[in-house]
Amino acid sequence: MDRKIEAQAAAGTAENDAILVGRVAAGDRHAFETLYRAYFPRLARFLQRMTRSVPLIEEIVNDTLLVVWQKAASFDGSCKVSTWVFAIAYRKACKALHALDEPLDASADESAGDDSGRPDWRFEQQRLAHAVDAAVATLPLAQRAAFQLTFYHDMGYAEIAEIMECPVNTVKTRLFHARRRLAILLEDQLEVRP
Amino acid sequence: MNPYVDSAADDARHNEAQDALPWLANGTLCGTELDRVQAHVETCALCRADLAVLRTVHAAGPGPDLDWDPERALGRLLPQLDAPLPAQDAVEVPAVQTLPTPPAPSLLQRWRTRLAANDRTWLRAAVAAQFCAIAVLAVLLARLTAQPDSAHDYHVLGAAGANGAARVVVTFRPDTPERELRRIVRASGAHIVGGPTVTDAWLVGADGRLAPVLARLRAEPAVTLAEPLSTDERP
Repeated sequence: MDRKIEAQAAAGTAENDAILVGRVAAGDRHAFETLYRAYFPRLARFLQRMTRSVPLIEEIVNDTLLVVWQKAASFDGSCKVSTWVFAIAYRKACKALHALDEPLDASADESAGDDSGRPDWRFEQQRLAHAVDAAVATLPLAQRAAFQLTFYHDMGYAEIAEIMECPVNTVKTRLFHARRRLAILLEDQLEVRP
Repeated sequence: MNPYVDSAADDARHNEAQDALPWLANGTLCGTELDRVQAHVETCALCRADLAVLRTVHAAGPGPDLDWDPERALGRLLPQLDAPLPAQDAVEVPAVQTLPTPPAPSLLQRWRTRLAANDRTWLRAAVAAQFCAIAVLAVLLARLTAQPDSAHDYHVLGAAGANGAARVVVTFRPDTPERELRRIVRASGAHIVGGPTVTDAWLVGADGRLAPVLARLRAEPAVTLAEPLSTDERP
């Protein structure tokens, strides 16, 4: 039964996330490690659009999940576990990156050559992903976060508003401005494809 | 049908759809909002084009992962699990959590907690301090009562004590000389025992019956008032 829950948690099932958090609250280290492994990639992908520093990404993820370990008992189930965890991560990232919140150089294209042997469609996907990544990196932090949570984490605007602790209309406005900026930056890259 | 009303409604629907397109693209839009936005997109070429671009971005997904390593990071975190939470984390935890209990609160937080009205320790100390203050005040009050300072006591005109011999209060016209005043008192068979008071009244003593004394005093044109101090001696 436990293994089933852990497998589902690794797949990001909200209900089982809550069960795991309950066990973490009781001091179950094994449950914590399961939750950690399930959330690490999601949080790291979220954070790597905010900073390219791997040590910093790992530190922010660790800080976030340390809070989850210490505060699991206070999680009241009024929102999804993922909303709670991402909200902690967003605040940790904002604090850590406050002094570094400068548009990053688009270094993503450096590894584009690695994909040269792949099929064309795959290469095209990678090329577009690199281009979008580079463009997203130039957005202000709040727009960047709203964009990622929408397009890479498939969250609704209400959930994003809860994570970013702002009104829903602010989320919509941030994404509107992000889209306008990306449309300019990706004018040659983004065309409607069949 | 009013074309302006239709135009305004179309604009509102278009703006609503434009705002909602990212969530139509990621599949999280639902309910009546989904129905409205979908209905508009079917009739709006601009929204369809924007939606196609957003779906392309969504399908492309994020770029490749950096070389972060969950196991390496977990290895660094595990030894920290038993460490107390730094005080600053209590502020950083989002509002979706309740009842944060930081094990190592800052000095300011400790005092804020202590000053809270529901803090038992603080209330006990406050009640004890109040009790001590009341006890000290009670002792001081008891000592003052036991050792009255007669020099500062307030006496009414009819009270006993220094004016115990006074039986009559007399006032004179303001222009009455003191010599005339003394003569009147002596002639009335009385003697001055106190005064003048703040109202320029004189306290007069007398032996024997008071009525004749009062009669003589009242007969003097310079006397404006002559009244017995005791109600028992009122005529």
